[in-house]
Amino acid sequence: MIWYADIRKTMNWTFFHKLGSPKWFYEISGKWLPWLAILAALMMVTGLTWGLLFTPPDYLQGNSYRIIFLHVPTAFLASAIYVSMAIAGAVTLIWRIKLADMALKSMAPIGTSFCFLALITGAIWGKPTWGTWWVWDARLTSMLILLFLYFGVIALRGAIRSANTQARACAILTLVGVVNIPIIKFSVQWWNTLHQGSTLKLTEKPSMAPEMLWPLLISIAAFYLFFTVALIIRMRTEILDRERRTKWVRNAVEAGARS
Amino acid sequence: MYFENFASLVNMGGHGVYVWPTYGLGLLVILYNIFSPLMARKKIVAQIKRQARAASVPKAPSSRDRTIKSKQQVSTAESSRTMNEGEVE
Repeated sequence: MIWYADIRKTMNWTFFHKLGSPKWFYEISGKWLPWLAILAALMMVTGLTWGLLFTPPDYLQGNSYRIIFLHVPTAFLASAIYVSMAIAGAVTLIWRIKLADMALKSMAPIGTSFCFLALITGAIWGKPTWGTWWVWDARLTSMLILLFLYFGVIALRGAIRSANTQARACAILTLVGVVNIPIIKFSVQWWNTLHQGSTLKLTEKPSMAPEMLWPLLISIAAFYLFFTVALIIRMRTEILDRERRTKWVRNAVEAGARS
Repeated sequence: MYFENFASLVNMGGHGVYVWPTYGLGLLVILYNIFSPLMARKKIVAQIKRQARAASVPKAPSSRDRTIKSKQQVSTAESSRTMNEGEVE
């Protein structure tokens, strides 16, 4: 475990540490939160209402395809949040920034809830489309493993008393589990079984009709924004909890009580 | 709107039984992600206020305070940004 100490010493990271100050994060996120929340709500309502009420049905799947506007964004995010947790874990190990561990801890329940929603919406969509709720298809199985990885990270934290050991153990477990992410991504190509391939690719023109694509893209953006909002709320709660002995937290709580 | 009337919107050509519960679950997950941290926050704010009130009355430290190592009792935000088992350059 010496290598990451070396990385830390190779540069002057003053800026990085300012960024990692819980007080700084608490203040700046407090200013951003209401605007992000409004934008997330507007986009969520736009994307989902559009997809649910205004798009035409799919010529093969009929109206059941409307589940896509929930399924794809949450499945995207379930993986993206896990990768973000792994990055936060690496930052925790290398720079020992507490804020990174707070982020890792706060992301875990959000990622779990999105992973659960992606699996359950997929199961419900599978019934009218494939005729079954569940198959041991590679994509479905690797997503189920992702859900268990999320459970594992949460359970590991609950099982350890020391905050520093919690931070390091969760960071290592998250980093080990990240191997599952490329498996999820390429599962539809490597094992071409039941789950369809990606509808959206960064490198190719989308095969979807624009009147279905737009609400989907808006829903994806809306879920990313909502994740940011939910993460900020959780991290601010976590900061108050862990920094409760500092003067600024006591002042902030007092100020909140007066207003 | 694509659907002609309320009944066809609910039914969705027989797929309403799949689509609507999905959106219901989606709403539940969204509400969970908003209200679960807000409730936790309320609890923690109340705890901090109680501790602040207890601290303003001079008395012996509680058993909870005594279990915390002195080196963890950092007073300023600047010194508390990193984990305490090592200084960072």
